[in-house]
Amino acid sequence: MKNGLFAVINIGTSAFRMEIGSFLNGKYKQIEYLVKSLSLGKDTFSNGLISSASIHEAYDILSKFKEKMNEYRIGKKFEVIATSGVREAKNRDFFLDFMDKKLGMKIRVLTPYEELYIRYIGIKNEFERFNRLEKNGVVLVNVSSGNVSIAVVKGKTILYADSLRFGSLRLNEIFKELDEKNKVYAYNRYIESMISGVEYVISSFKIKNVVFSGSSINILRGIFSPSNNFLAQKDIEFLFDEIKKENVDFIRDRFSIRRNEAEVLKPMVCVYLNVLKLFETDLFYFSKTTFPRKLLMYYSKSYKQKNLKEYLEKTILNIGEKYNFDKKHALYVRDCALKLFDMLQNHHLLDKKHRQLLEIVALLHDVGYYVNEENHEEHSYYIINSLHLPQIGEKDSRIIALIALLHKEKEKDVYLRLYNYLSQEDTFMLKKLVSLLRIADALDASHKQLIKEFKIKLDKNSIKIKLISDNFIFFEMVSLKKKARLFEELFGIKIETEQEIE
Amino acid sequence: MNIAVIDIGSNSVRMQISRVQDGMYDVVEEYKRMLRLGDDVFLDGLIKETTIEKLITTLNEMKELYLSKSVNTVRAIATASFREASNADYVIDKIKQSTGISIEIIDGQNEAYLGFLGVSANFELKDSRVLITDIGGGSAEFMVVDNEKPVFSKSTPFGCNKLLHRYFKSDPVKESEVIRFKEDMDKEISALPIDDKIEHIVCLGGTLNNISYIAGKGNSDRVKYVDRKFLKGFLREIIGKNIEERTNIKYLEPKRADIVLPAALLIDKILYKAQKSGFYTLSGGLRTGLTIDTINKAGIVLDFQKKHHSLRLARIIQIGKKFNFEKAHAMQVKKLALSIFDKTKKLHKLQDREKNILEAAAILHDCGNYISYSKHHKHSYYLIKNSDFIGYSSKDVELIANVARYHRKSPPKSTHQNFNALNDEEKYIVRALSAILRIADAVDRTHDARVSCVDVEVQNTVVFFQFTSKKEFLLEINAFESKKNLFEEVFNVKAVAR
Repeated sequence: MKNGLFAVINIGTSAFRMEIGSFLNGKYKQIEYLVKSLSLGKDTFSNGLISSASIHEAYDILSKFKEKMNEYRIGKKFEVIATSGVREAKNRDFFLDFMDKKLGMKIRVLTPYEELYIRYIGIKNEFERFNRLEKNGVVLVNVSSGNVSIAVVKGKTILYADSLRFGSLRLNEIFKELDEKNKVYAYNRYIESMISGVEYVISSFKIKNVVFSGSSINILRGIFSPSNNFLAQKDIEFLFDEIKKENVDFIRDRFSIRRNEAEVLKPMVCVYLNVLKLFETDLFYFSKTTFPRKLLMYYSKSYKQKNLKEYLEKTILNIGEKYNFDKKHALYVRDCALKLFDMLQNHHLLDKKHRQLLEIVALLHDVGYYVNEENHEEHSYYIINSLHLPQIGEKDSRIIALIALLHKEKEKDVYLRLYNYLSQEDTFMLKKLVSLLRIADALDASHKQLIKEFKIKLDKNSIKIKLISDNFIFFEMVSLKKKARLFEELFGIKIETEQEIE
Repeated sequence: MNIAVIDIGSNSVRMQISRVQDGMYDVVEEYKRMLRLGDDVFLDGLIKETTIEKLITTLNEMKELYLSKSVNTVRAIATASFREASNADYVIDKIKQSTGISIEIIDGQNEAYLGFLGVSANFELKDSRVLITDIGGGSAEFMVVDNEKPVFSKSTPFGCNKLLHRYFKSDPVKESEVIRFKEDMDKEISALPIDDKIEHIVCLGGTLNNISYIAGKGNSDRVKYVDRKFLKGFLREIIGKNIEERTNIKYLEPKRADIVLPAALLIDKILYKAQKSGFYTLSGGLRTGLTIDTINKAGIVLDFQKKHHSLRLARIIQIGKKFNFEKAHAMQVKKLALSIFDKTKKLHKLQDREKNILEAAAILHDCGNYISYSKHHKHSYYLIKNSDFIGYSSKDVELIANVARYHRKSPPKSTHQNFNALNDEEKYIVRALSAILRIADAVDRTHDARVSCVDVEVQNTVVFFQFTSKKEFLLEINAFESKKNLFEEVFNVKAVAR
């Protein structure tokens, strides 16, 4: 980040936090850190809604935060982030709209996977040892109020990412009517039943390095004040024995923590012990910086993000392999698609972010074959829509899925209903990317990579694609004619092909 | 191992590419071109140069495709049109030179055997007598199979393209032509062992499959059933029309508009002789057989060909394996679910069909985990609905998918599109079976088969479940308590664990 100020507001499940910091010659300094308690999670996890009182309270907090930012003349250099307390509320759209209309604040709602990803990038940047752990495989566990998100990373590949709904505040809310003495039993049963579903897959990775993150870590650090950045399972067990029969008041006084922290400590400790048992490890690592700090670094682009492209590619290829894709075809279509994208820049006028979307979908467009050969494009859509790609937000995931769906040309646009809710601009962008992918796919219609190279010549009224190959090619020519149609319609320009045989 | 088989028929040329793995195979690609070689051969006795050119182009396209799929074994066969073409040797030579593909001409007996292999992969042939007919363009094969063994096999020259050229010269056809055709066929068929001991008739060949496609209004299931009533009506319709008019019939392939008549008349005669009220069709039967035969010739015996193997079950397990299911848990839940089903018949009053649906749903209920654990019940629904089963109709598959979907989280609701699309009877089946599945799944909560069996006793409005286990099973009881609601609601009883 260049020199100057940056601010982040994090709307968490139990509190609103704001951090303002300054960057000077690559050095960061925190200027302001504000915390205001407001438990949206209690509303959302018990009733599914954010109550009207909470919305107004949230409004008050955010407007004070905004005043603060104005004092510092932050301008546009800030980001407002919300997690599960807002994400899972049925009236989230109203909440977002309200803050937008009344405060001019656009709130970005993170999926559990984006949240996990930002924490992951943060940990990578601040934790020397992490990169060594990563080589042998590491599990990231984010224990937040609502969810427990788990990502398994090995080498440069994210092997697995899922989010399970047994966060500590959620457990507390579900079982709040129970007698104190029965709660631990209930928490454990609930967690065990969730874990039994993923155990089969997760245990197959045989990975024991575990890094925890989430607000839960702050509470534990407060209790244990560890000098290093790891804790032993034994520590957590002692804690468990000490609190399992006690009530909230006792816990609060015993560890001098806030009441809302005391409330979730018991379920939280149960979560930790069960997760450690799942990975059969007796110690775990954690990172010391707070989530708002990580958000600030991430959105001000202050984290080193080198190699991340490689990570994304490896992760995508790993998914492709799981669905037994034709790797040569996928890589070839990817290369063609990107080349087309770059060469036709003056026609489509899209940016780097769109280029990345095109790259991902070019690699994954055929994964649906694994489900069934018939209607494979629909299956690709379904699979991509259900992927938890930590690097990509919800909306972009959906757009990628739609591009895969549309890569096969249909007489009429039978899938229109699936994307007619997109804005006109997004729909247009979607179609542009689809038209490029179709041409790239046609260039390898036989899946044999027969075209060794292609050259593009731009004219006023046409785009000439010269295809260079060893022998006369047939499939690709027929296919191109059909699959270039969308491009021709969108851009009002003819695509002409000629063959050159070497 | 990937294999490609090419079948050069009198009407179409088709290729099927399959991947063989773990005693099973999966079709990964299919390719088809209508060339109608029969038109040349059955009129002029040889394959014309222009047709040879088309054939070579088609084979080159196919070659490109199979090479791209890293195929290591290729087998190309030709049937009646090549058997009868006077220049067959020349054509084979020319094709070999320009494509490198060697074509093997197979005789009628062999063709019938391949058809039989194809049928055996799609139908349970145990304890029944089945007539398999393959009405092609140039010949028609007949085989009778008794308890999985072929007991009769004959290749006849009654291919529909050939019959067309011999009997039907007018357009629209004349009544006299139809009568003469029927009389001749009566005689010819009486030489075959077709009588009322035949329990089922299975037809292969593109033309009859086109008829079942029309009957099913575009249903593209591999196996379909056609009622004789439909066939009668369809015959009436096409006899009155000329070929041009027939092409307007919905779902009729225009290139079969002429030959569909002799094929329909022939099968009608056969149904009459066997006194059957309908027939099954199997699409891709010959190619399936050819694929299996080619795999067998490579020294591999497929799982379903081994003794005591239920084809239906083998396919379910194959689907489970593909989605990396946790087999021990799947089989345990299946065992418990079927046992509860049998012991609560008085309550649910369901039959064998529903039991088979429950069996598949129990084995596959968690397969959606392959996509992700969160929402995996919905993923199970999707994967099941889009998988190819054997021995289940597409309606059955829809029900299996629904039952699996409701193994956890919300019970069936009318706001769910997948559930709402069912009729009342189907809704009941889904509710009843998922109620049973929920309990069976709960009883194996720990996924280690600690509860070895469940006894069920129905006393008026109370159903007692007794668990037998060598270990403690608190978690299971707990899960049972939280998942029994649907069972109590559907059957209007109280469920009690003992």
